[in-house]
Amino acid sequence: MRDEPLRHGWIWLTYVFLFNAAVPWYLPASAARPVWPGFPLWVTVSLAATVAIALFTAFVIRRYWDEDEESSTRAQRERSESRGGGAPRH
Amino acid sequence: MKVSEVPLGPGALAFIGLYLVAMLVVGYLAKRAQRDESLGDFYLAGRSLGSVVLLLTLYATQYSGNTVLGYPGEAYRLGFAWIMSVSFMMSIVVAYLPFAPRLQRLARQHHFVTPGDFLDYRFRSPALSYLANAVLVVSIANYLLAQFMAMGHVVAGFSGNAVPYWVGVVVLVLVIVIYETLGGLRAVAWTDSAQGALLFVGVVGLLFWAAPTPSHWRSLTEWIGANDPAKTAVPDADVTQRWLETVVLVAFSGAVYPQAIQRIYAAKSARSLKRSLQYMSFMPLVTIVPVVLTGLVGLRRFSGLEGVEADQIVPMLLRDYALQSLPSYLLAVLVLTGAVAAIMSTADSVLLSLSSILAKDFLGKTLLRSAPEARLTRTGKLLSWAVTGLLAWLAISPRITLWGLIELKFELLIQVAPAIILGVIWPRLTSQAVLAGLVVGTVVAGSLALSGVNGVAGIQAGLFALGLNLVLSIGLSYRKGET
Repeated sequence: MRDEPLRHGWIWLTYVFLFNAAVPWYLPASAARPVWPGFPLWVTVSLAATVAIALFTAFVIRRYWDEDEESSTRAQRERSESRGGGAPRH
Repeated sequence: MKVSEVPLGPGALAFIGLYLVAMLVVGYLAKRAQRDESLGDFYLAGRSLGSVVLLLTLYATQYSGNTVLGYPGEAYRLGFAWIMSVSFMMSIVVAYLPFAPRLQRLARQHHFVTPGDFLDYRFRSPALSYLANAVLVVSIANYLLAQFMAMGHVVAGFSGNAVPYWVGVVVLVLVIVIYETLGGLRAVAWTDSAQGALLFVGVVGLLFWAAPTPSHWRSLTEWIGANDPAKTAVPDADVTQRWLETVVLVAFSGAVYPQAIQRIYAAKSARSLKRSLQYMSFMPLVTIVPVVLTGLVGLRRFSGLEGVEADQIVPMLLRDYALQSLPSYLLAVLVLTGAVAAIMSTADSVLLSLSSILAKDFLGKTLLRSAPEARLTRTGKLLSWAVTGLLAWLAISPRITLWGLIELKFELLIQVAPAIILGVIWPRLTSQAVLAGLVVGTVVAGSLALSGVNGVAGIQAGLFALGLNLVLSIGLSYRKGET
């Protein structure tokens, strides 16, 4: 069976956590002071969470979204190996 | 005003003229690349879009002129709180993940062209398909009208009214409809690639000029904190609740835009789609952050603008900047062209989707039921001209304003999300249940919006209607399964 992000509940729990982290409902009023890289603290925290969402999304797509092409290539390779052929070597 | 007195000079108009001619040439080349007269070739570029073109067309379509012109204005009014729009745009990419892998496979197996093709395949309910398509048409027609109006405003605004509003609308709309009817999605995707690149250069140019280094950002934050502290303050509970609700609203309405669904269909392979979405997840950071910072720089440079005046902040900054040196003038012209490109690239994609739905899902099932595909394709091209003519007339008619309806876009669109997203991922969903949900959701969302009610029980009206829609869609599907 093809793998896809929908089959992994922890992926969606992680998204709920990260999107909540991007919204500064949990930060005190004092988090408005400028910090690195020059934005108010709450903006830096929010942007850090959105960077994490982008990185996590790229990872999920790469790791948990099976491609037809990949599946067929893998199947071809397995068939070839089972016949004792293996990949051609140069 | 003479052309020589145009704020960015005749050079800017000449550059935009050159850009428009280039778009027409691309349309002609796309027509030469056409393989046949089928709907799949015209509306989905023969399902041949590779990852780079797919990325640029997704990017150029998702980010409109509003991103370059409206977002800095919103940042000017709200301050740093408008950084929330980064998570709005990111949520759309995340919303693709549950259903895009399966939908892409189904589209290839069953040759889907429109979102309605999936609904027909999945539910076999003409009533559901007609209603869902009607909701999609109303939503995106309003969106297209907004883009046409934005074209007139951007040309008139940047030219200091040397080029009147109506001329801006007519010229840009004509260029779009010509290249779109010449080459279909192939022309739209190729022009989107150039337009997406221009948009990207434009926003990076804005950042480069407005606040290029962390020391500029700190100085800006300190100035705003000292002079307008509400605009650096941590958002209050009302704002953060609205922020979270809007993430959901934008995610599920943005993901079911017909033009977005059709790009899933048009991908050359799952690998192309995956790669383009991987990069798309970073685009909000490199696009929205610069435009928000630009609006905040405008707050320091031109403080005291009220209400809609703030939407002029980018033209004001560019005029100011263009006078400084030749490189800054050239950059300002690039940003201006990027803004025009951003509007056109959204409008062309929406227009193409609209004509495909009208031709295939309405005429193709009624008057032209037994017509060959080539005839439906030709009819779609004629419909593009008809829709363009009607909407351009509405856009230049000063007595007709449909801005209230434009506000309805997300609230209505999201009512189709259960049929498409749940329809893809949940086999138990029944056609009667999803139809009941869609009817109730659409009526409630439309009625609340038209009567000016923004929220019910403390949540946004569109989400409240979606909640009812989901309860009916899921609840009735379970009930049907038990009986």
